Formats: sequence, C-alpha cells, structure tokens
Amino acid sequence: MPATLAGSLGLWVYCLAWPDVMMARDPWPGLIVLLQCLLLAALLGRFETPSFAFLYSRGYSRDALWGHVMLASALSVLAALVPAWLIVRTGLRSHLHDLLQSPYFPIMAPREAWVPLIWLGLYVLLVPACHYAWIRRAQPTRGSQGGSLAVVGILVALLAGFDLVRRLDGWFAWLCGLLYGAVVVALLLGGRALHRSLEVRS
Amino acid sequence: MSDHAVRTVELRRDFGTVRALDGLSLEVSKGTILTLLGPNGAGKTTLLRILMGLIEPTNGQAFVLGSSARSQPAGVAGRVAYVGDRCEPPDWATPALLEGVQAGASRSFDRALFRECCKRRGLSLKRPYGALSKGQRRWVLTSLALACRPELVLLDEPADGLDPAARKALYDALRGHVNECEATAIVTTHVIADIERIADDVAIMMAGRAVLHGPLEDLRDRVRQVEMSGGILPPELSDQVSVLGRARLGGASVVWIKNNGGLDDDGLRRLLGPDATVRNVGLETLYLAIAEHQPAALAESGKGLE
Amino acid sequence: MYLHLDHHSGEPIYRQIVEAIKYQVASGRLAQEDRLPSIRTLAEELKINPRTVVKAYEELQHAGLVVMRHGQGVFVSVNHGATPQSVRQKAIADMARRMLAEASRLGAPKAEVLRIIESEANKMEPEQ
Repeated sequence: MPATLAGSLGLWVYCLAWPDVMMARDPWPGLIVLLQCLLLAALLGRFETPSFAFLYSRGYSRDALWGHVMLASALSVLAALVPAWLIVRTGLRSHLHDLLQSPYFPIMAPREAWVPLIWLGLYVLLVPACHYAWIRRAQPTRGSQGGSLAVVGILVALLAGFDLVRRLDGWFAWLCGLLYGAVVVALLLGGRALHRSLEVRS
Repeated sequence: MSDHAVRTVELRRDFGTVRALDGLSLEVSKGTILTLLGPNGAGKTTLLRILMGLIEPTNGQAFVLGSSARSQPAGVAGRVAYVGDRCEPPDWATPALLEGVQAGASRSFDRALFRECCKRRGLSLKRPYGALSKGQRRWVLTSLALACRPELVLLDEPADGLDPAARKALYDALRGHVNECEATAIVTTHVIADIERIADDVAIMMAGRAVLHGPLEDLRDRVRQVEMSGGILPPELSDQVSVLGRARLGGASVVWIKNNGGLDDDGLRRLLGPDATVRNVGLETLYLAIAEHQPAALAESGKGLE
Repeated sequence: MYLHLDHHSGEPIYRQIVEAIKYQVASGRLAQEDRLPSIRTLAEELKINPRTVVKAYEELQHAGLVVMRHGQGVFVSVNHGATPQSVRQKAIADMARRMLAEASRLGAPKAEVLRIIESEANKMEPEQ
C-alpha cells in the first residue's frame, strides 16, 4: 500500500521531471540536476491543489507523508542517474563518440567515470535543499522568502567550497565533506519538521 | 479532556483580513452526531479543516480524540476520517487505487465494506474518479471514510448532489456506525430535513461563532414559536426565556423563544394569555428563525445562546 | 416494533416514543409482561441514538408503565395498582384536556363543548 502511494507520487514526478540521461560537458549537467531538483520540489509540493489536500486528509501522519515524498524523490533521482552512470561505465558513451570520430576518444572512459558521482553528490545536496525551500515557502507563519535565500546562500558557499576542495586536500577536504554531510542532514530534518506544521489549503 | 471526542478552546482563524473563526469554544462528546449549520462563510469548513490538521489556527487550541489537532500522532490520524470540499483525488484515480491509498493509512480499513458500498450504487472499481457524477464522487469518498470504521468522522456537506434515497442511505449508515462503535461525527449540511433525523447535537454558526449549541432533543423541548398580536413578551416571561428571533408575518408578531427555566408548555400558555398560540418547531424553522430573524443586538454582541 | 416518529415536528423523540408505547399499552396491543425491544435493537430499528431510547424507557419506568430488569430486558409492568384500563383512561383524559384547552381558546363555553362531544359520540354509536 505505501508502494501504491509512492508509485502515484512518483508518477506525477516522472511525467514532468525530465531526467537527464544523455551526456554533456561540465556546466550543463549541473543545470539539469538543478532543474530536476526544482521540479521535484515543485511537483511534490503542490500543497494548494485538491489532489494534495485529498492525500493529506486520508489519515496518514505528516511524517509518513514526508517520508513518501523523499522516497519518490530518491526514486526519481535514481531513475535519472543509474542509466547515465551505466552509459558511462559500460563504455557506451565511448563507443558512441568513437563513431562520431571524437578526438578525445581513448582517454574519455576512465576520466569520466567519476563524473556521475559528482552528479550524485549534487543531487543529494540539492534535493533536500529544494524541498526545504519549497516547504518553507508554503509555511503559513514564517517568512516565505527567508528559506529560499538561506538555501541559496548555503549552496553557493558549498559550491565554492567544492572548488576549493579540488585544489587542497588532506584534512581540509575531510572537513568539507563533513560540512557537506551536516548540511544535508540539517536540510532533511529541517524540512521534515517544517512539513509537520505545513498548511494544506485548496 | 478524554471524554470529549472533539474540543476547541477560543479557536480563532484569520485568512488575511477575513476572520473565519472568532473565538469558537465547542465540545463534542463521544457517540454523538453533531450537525453544523450556518450560512456559507460562517466558518464551518474552516473548523473541520483545523480539526483534520490541514490548516492551523491563528489562535486558540483544538483537540481531537485527546491529542492536539495539529500534531496528530500516526495512531490518531488513522482514526479520523474526513470528506471535504476541494479535497478530492485527481481525475485519473480509480476507486481501486483509492482503496489502496486508504488502506495504507488506516489499519482498520475494511476493503470488503468499501467494495460493497460501491457495488450497491453500481460503481465499478476501475472507472476513474473524473468520470463519476458529483453525487457518485461524494458517495465514493464517504464510503472510503466510513469503511475505516473511524472514531471521528468529519463530513463537509456529504449529501451534496445525492438523491433522497442515497442521502437516507448515507445518513443511516452514519447513524449505524456511530451507534455501533460509539464513534463521533460532525456533519455540515444545508439540507436540514435529512440531518434532523439522525442528529444528536446542533450547532449553528454565524460569522465564526457558535450562536446556538446544544442537544437537538433539548432544543425540541425548549424552543417554541409564539404567535401573538402584540410583540412584547410579558415581563415575568422575559427573564425565563431567551428570544431567538422575531418577525412580523402577515400582521401577527412571531417570536421564537427558548425556555431556559423550568416552565412547561401549560405554564407558558398561561403567562402568554389566550391570544397567543404556542407551537413546537422543527429544526429548519429554528434555523431560519436565527438566520433570518435574529435580533440585531444579539448578532452584534455575538453572545451565544447556550 | 414499529413506532411512527416524526423527526420534523419539533416534538422530542423520546417523548414520541413514550407516548407511542403508552398508547400501545392503553389500547391493549402491549400486554402485561410483554417484552419491549432492547435499547440497542430499538435504536437500530428507529435509527436513533441509544441514549434517546434510554431516556424514553426511563420515563416510562418513572411513569409506572414498564420495568427494566437488569440482565433480562424491559418489560411492560403496569403497576401502582394501575390496569390497562386506567392507562387508557389516563390517555383519554390527556386528549380531553388538550381539546378543552383549545376550545376555551376559541372562546367556547363548557356547555357548548359537552353538547358537541355528546352529539359526535351519538353519531359514532352505530359503528361500535
């Protein structure tokens, strides 16, 4: 039964959150990831529609509903990421580019193997962030813009941090990693807490 | 707190500049069907939504089944059922899907009962929600709610669009459920005659306040329609009764009163004199008396008539 | 048991039940030691709150028409030295009182009322 619920949520997400499967150079994937995360948050956060009101009125506890939203997001991310990763891993991409006579062909495969992992990292950070921002927007009493700004601020700081990581290593890299983990967890827990007092109006 | 199924304390809710609920304090005991009456915009839907935990009050508190309405733990949430306006599944959902969704939420959901309810109205489980008529949709949603055997049922105009036979079936089912499980129900409706058959308590809401609240049998005992030529009640009477409404109809004065003291009908007739006629009134007449003819002073002060 | 209830008349339901059962006792349809439906059953049949049935039964017990025996049910038990006849007479007396009150509101003197009752009764005689 919860699967049915997650399935129906996932369906809504699926139809409209176009996952990225094809490869591209560095900046584009970032944008696509961001787009998917925003869409996920927006579609799963349509608290003003009768359909959502219906779901919320069935007697599920708020936390259970939040859990399903996160699950649906995770499924959507996996659906986008896994095929992409496979394409790189199995050498499909290399072959394709070989056919297209790309000069980079021989070196691409090993170099690009870790790229999808970066995307995963981005997803893990962005999904909770977008959800948090979205839930905060729908909050009746808090300032709706405050959440979005805070999230954007944190993201910018972290992305800058990523850049730094690439140059420095050692303990500083570990620190950034920890910070990253902490931010993700904070966003998740914060989102869940806010979700509890969310208003569902239609 | 534990023997009231629903309890609100000075509940207030604003939507921007509009005050939907204005210090509403209400208590509903277990095993009761409360009917909420009032004009559109009186705050009935808002109250139900707050009780369901969908929106939060601006001020005051609300309790359902002993816990706060806002943060319902999983156990409580599954025991409250709600059928409301603009709280409908998407058009592509089928009753079979809804069955699955509901089963996941409420442990006590009786699938067989739900299926039987649908079959009784000739509704297929595979046909999408969007293809159903308004009455059929209400029927599906209400069956979904009642099949959970909930302890608290919140119905917002459940009979909207249903023909008289379906309305009777719905209310009979509700009465049966409440009697069997000592459940509690709050029903909002505009069709008063139907709910009069099964309601235990009545609350009339106006502008966010409960203007009248009490057991229906008590109202039947105490409320009388008095027709007389003058419009003034004898002074010995005025401190024993509250005036619910006045009107001038066809040259006579009609006053609707509620007997607060121990006066019986004979005593009432004696005090009013031979010119006055005293009648019992049904719920619809009572509602109209308050809604249309309520003394302006009473409406302004917002004092409840308890 | 079929009891006709009018939910819209403004007359409390419990009183309608009491009157209906009183009438059945007075007319002999319910005899001494007849068992009335259980609270649950009657509430289910009439589609009303069980508490209303309880109130009705309690009032009937108070009026000396039934007795609620713990564990066994509710039985017709016309007591206090009353008989079905006296219950019938009391019912008729209630009706008469209401009619007389109404007649006096119409301004009819007692003699006129009695005369009319007599003539109506005579008209009915052949059918009895």
